Amino acid sequence: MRPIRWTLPSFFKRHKGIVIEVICFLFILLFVYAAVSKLTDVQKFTVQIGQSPLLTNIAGFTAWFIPIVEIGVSLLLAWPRSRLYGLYGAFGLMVMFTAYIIAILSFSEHIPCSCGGVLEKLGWTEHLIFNIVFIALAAIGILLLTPPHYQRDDLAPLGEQRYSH
Amino acid sequence: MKRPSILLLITFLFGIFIVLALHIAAPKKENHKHAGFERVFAPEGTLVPLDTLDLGYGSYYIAGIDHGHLFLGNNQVPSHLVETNVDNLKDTVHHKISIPEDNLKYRSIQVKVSAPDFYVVDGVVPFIYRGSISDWTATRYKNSPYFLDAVPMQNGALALIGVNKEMEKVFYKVTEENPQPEIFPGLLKAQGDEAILSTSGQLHYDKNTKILTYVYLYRNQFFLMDTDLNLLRAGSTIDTISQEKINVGEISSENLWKISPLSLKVNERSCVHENLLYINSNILAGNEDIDVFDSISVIDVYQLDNGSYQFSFYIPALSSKKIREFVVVHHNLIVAKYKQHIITYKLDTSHTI
Repeated sequence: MRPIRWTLPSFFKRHKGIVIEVICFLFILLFVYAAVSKLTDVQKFTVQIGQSPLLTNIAGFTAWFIPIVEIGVSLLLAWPRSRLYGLYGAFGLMVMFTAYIIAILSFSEHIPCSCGGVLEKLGWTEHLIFNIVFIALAAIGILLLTPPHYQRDDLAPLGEQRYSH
Repeated sequence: MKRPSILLLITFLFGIFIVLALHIAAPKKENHKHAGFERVFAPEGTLVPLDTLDLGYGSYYIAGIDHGHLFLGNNQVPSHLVETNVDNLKDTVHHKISIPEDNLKYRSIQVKVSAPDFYVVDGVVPFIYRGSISDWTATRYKNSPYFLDAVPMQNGALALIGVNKEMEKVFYKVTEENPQPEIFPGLLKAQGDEAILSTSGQLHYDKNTKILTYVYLYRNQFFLMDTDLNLLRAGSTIDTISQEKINVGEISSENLWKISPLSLKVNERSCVHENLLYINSNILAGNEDIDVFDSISVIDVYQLDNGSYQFSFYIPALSSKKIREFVVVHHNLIVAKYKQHIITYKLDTSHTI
């Protein structure tokens, strides 16, 4: 058996189509779920955000803005043509959420997470791991979805090089 | 379109940048904003640590101090009580409280020791049980209204911070003679449009002077009462917060009010010993360093008979955790409770008072 660091990338490449579908599906599930559970009780979400020392002043704005962006990214992911933009959006959002968790922990460990639904039940460590997994998924999706000639011009197949000029 | 690695990096940095910007733009902490006053600090070496006791669990609370004995109750095991000697934190004894009644339902149970009696109280159920510390057996003592805290006085009397039917905060006095507690309305003054939060505070009783002291949590005020709850005098603390700054958010779907961190606590915790009032203030003064202030607990000392401010000192943190409770006992001995440790300090007041 070959070491996993060789088998894993080739597995992703061989099943590229299905891997991308699964990644996009997971992100749509995550974002739509999180957005809907926030929007069904905007008042609660606003109060929760208001508890955060980073967001108290812009709680009203953030409470609407975050779920709307989450739904927007889900729509981009659902539409095959805009999928790559969606994955960049998802990647950016997850990096932002993760950075936020780290920033908030530097203030206090008692601030509740307001991610919505069952996600709020996660502890901070679980939450970090969860987020890092999703960041990795987004990065894998982006790498798989980017057409080969954008990745390495010198290695692109001859047939495709014609279109790149 | 560029290489995905560069785009990923840009997206990554963008995400980090937004949070960083939020961090930089984050408002100043509320308790640092009102530094329009100064503290007078006791010279260094005023506070000397003496002994440390590791309780092993964070669920202990100070149930009472009497004649050099410190009693610690336990939130997790309400019938369990630890007794130790305040002078050396040794000779630890474990007691088990027994209540003859089976299946006592409790929701917010607390043990209060006031030798030779002890009380088992719950303001939510509510009930008050009383027993003697010689056998640690408690029996039902009096009927009581709902209350937030019960403070034992003398000869079976207790002062309760309660809530009446109109949802106003009032004092009650429970006595040996009266079957029903006496009500004393009008002493706690609401601020703003809300009477429960704005009147939050701590009630203390000093056995030597027989005086009750109430210290408001959200404003710079305290007042003194005698054992019949007659107002004696009122005083203010040195900070400038005379009007509460409470900020609550309503979650109607859960029928819940959340106190926002923007709410400004003033007198976080306090205690009284003889004629002195010790207050652990939450408000930064103009002559203090923010980082130092955030890492210690400042104690301001006031004289009770004339309300005058004396001096301040710092109680250090233990492995960067601040004190949770503190009590001043005889001969300027301070008992500070951290998460799971008790540390005693000697307060040398020779050059300050």
